[in-house]
Amino acid sequence: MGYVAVKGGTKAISASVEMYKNKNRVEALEMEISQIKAGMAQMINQIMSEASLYDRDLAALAVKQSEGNMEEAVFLLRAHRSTLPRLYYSTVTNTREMFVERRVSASFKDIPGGQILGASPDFTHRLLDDTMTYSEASFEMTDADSYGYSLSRLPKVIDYLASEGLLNKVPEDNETPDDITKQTIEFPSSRSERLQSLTRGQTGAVTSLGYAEIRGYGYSSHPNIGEVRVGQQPVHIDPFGDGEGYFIGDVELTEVDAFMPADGDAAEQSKEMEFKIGCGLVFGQNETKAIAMSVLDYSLSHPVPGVATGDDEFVLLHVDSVESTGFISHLKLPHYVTFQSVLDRIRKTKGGTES
Amino acid sequence: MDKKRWTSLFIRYGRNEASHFYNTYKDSADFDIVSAPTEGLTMIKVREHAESSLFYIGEMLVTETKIRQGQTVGMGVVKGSNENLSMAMSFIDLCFNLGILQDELQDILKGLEMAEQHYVKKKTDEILKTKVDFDMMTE
Repeated sequence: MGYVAVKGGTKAISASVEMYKNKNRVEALEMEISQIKAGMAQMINQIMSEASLYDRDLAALAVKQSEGNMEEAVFLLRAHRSTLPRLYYSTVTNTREMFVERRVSASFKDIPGGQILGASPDFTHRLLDDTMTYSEASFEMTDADSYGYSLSRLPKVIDYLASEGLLNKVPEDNETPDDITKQTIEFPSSRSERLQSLTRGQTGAVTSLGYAEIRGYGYSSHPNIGEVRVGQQPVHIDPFGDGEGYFIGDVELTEVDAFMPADGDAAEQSKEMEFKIGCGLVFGQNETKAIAMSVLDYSLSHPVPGVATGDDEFVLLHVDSVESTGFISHLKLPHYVTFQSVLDRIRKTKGGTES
Repeated sequence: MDKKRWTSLFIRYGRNEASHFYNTYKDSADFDIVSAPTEGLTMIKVREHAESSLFYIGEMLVTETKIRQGQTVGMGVVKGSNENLSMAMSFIDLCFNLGILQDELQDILKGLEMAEQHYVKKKTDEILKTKVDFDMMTE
C-alpha cells in the first residue's frame, strides 16, 4: 500500500456542520442569555476562570453556542479573547479591598470580622429538589443591623497569625509578573507563571492533582484552610501613570490562603516550626478549584524530588483546558498516513511484505 | 472627589444617570471623538498574599471611548460590552477635566452617594444574616 495525498469530504463536512447547528438548536435559541447568566452562574464562573476572560455575557453566549459543553465553551471564549486588543493592564488589585460576600476559616473559630457563610451549597442536602421543576423565585429578607460593619475592609486571617508572631510578614515583591499569554512558559517556571497557569487551569484537572498531592504523592498531609473569601473585587486602571486611576468595574473572585505546617523531620526537631502559605485565587466563586490551586502552589514552590505534583512542567502543561482537551480530541481526526506507517512497520516485523 | 471615587459611583450605581447626563448636555460641549466605543481587554494584575508577589489572574472585557476638546481628553473605560455607558463616562470625564457642568455633576454624585449607602447597607444586612454566632451553639 502506498501513500497518496487526498482531499475530500467538503460536502460531508458542510452537511455535518448544518446538522450540528440544527440539532437541539431550536430549544437552545429559546434560551435567553439573561436566563443562562442567572440560572447557570456556577457554570459561567468555571468557564470564565478556565478561559481566563471575565465577562458573564460572553460566557453565557459560549454556553448557549456550545450547548453546555464546558470544554467547547472555554475554547470559544479563549478564541474570542485572541481577537480582541489588550488595551490596559490594571493597577495592582488587592483582595484586602474586596467587598466580601462569603468568608470562612477552617483553622480558627473566632476570626476578626467573623465567619460569614454567604451563599453556599455546603450546608444543603444533595437531594434533587423537584419543587424547582416549575419554580418561581421568591425571596424574603429581614432587617439586620449592619451599621459600623464594613465588608470591604475585612482583615485577613494571615494578619492575625502575623500579629501573633506565627507568620513572618513578607515584604511586597513588586516585580512585573511574567505573562504566559505573551511568552511561552520556560522551565523552571517563575512563580507568576505558575500562578497564572493554575488559575486558568481546568477545574477538574487542578482539583485532581491537588487531591493527589495531599493524598500521598507529595505533601501527603492535611493543609489547613486559613481563609476562603468570595466577593466583589474592584478593578482600576491608571492609563496616564499619574496615580489618578479610573474604576472600571468589579469582578467576583475566590481567594484561599492554605496553611501548610512545615514541621520538618525528626532530625530537625530543634528548628522552629513555621507555616508556609499556599495561594489560590480564581475568577468567580470556584472554591474547590481555589483550594486545590493553593495546594499545588505550595507543592510547586516546595517540590519533593520524584513526585509528579511538584514537577512544574508536568502540572502546568497538563492542567490547561484548551491544550489537554484539544490534544485528546484531535486523536479522532484523520491520521491516515501516520497509522499506515505504523501498520507498515508491524507488517515488516511480522515478516510480511512492505507496501 | 477624586476620579476613582466618581467613576465607581457612576459605574456601580448611576448608569442611567450617566446616560441621562450625556444626552442632556452633550451639545453644550464641543468635542471630537478620538476613538468611538471599542471593545478590548484589560489584564488584571493581582497581589497574592503567600509571598506578596504579583501575577496576572486573567483579562476582563472592557469598552473604551476617547473624546477631546482641544488638548483636553475625556476617557470612558467600563467593564463589559456597553457602548452607551462608555460614551457617557468619557463625556463626564471631559467635563471634569474641563471644569464645566460641575454643579450639575456634584448634584448627581450626591444622589449616587445616597444610593451607595442604601445599597451597601441592604447588601451588608443580607450577608450578615449568614454570620455565625457561636454563642448560639451552647443553647
